Amino acid sequence: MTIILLTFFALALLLEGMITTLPVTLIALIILLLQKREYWIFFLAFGSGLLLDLFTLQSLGLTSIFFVIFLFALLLYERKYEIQTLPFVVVSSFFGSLMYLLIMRSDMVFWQSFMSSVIGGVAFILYSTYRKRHLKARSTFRR
Amino acid sequence: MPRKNQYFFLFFSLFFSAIVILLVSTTAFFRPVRSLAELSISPLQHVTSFLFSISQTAASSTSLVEENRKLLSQITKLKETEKEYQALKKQFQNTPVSPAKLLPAQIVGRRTFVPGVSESREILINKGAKDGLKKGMVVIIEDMVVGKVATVSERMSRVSLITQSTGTTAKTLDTNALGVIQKQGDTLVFGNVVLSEKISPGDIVITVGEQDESGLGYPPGLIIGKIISIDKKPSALFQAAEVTSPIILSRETTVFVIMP
Repeated sequence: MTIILLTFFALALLLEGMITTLPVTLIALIILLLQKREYWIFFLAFGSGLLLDLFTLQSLGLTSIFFVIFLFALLLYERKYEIQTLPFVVVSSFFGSLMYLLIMRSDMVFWQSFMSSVIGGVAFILYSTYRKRHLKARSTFRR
Repeated sequence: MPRKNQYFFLFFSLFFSAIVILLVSTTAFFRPVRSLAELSISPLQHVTSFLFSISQTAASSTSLVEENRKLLSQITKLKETEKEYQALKKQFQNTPVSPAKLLPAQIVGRRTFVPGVSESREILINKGAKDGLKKGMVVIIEDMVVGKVATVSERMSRVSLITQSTGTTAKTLDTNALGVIQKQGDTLVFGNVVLSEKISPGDIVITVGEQDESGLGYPPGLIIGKIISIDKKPSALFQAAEVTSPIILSRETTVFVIMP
């Protein structure tokens, strides 16, 4: 199941690096972190930030700084809110994208953030549905 | 799941590593490292850009667009020749740029909000500082303006398109009405045109020429676009016109940089 998330992440990185200005890498990192909550996700955020800066000719390290700070801030909310829920994913995707696009001086910031939150929500629903079915199938098999 | 202390340590170490990389990357010492990294990702960029341009070319008819561009270019050249002959000008202000001064470059990146639907604000080309590129150099296709080099690294450059212009002096080909090309929302506007100047839909807008002593900046006579509508109020001091560029970048793979 981690492979599915990592494949989504790799695809998002490629799309954002080459084709689109939508911050889909950030969305993929948010979903990865909320589903797995492992330390290696921070290294992934750091490395993908450097790659994105290379692809887009930004100052190297700028995107990594944002990704690392944002993911850490998300974890701080773990005590206050239930973070593995659709509303949290949608809201964090929206505000994360909004801040990222404002820092990168993109245009159509609101619409891109809105689209990112929709993509984040859909991806979260799809993965959660798949995960439930997979766990159900495994428990049925064990019986 | 790791403990909170480990998260804090990890966060601070990665954060400070990113800060260090950000600071070091601006120094000359880091250029070979960046150059090597860009060299390793350039095949991927070329393949993706090539596949994207194929899909855009297959999706629509290019022959009419190409013909329209060529006709626009020919009309401009004929009108220029006619003006020079009639006015007996001494200087050739609107001649095309000499081919010897043009450096061809491949477009390796064109990121947009919705690929294939919305237009790019900028493009990435595969020429950089090692090819002699500098910030401010003009990028064209035939004799039409694409934009200016905004950022240069060792092997790649980012070109800010004319549609993102924040104030380029221009004039109409027929009536020499002077104005400023600016971005307003999603449209390109030829504004600050004095009310007494005569402009009309279909007029071709060209660059006036704003090169500095080092040769950087728009040379005169390059086509920016065509006027499609005019906003003229008798009570206002100036009039403005919406301009459309003849270039559809999603279908282009090669641009040319004017080397001073």
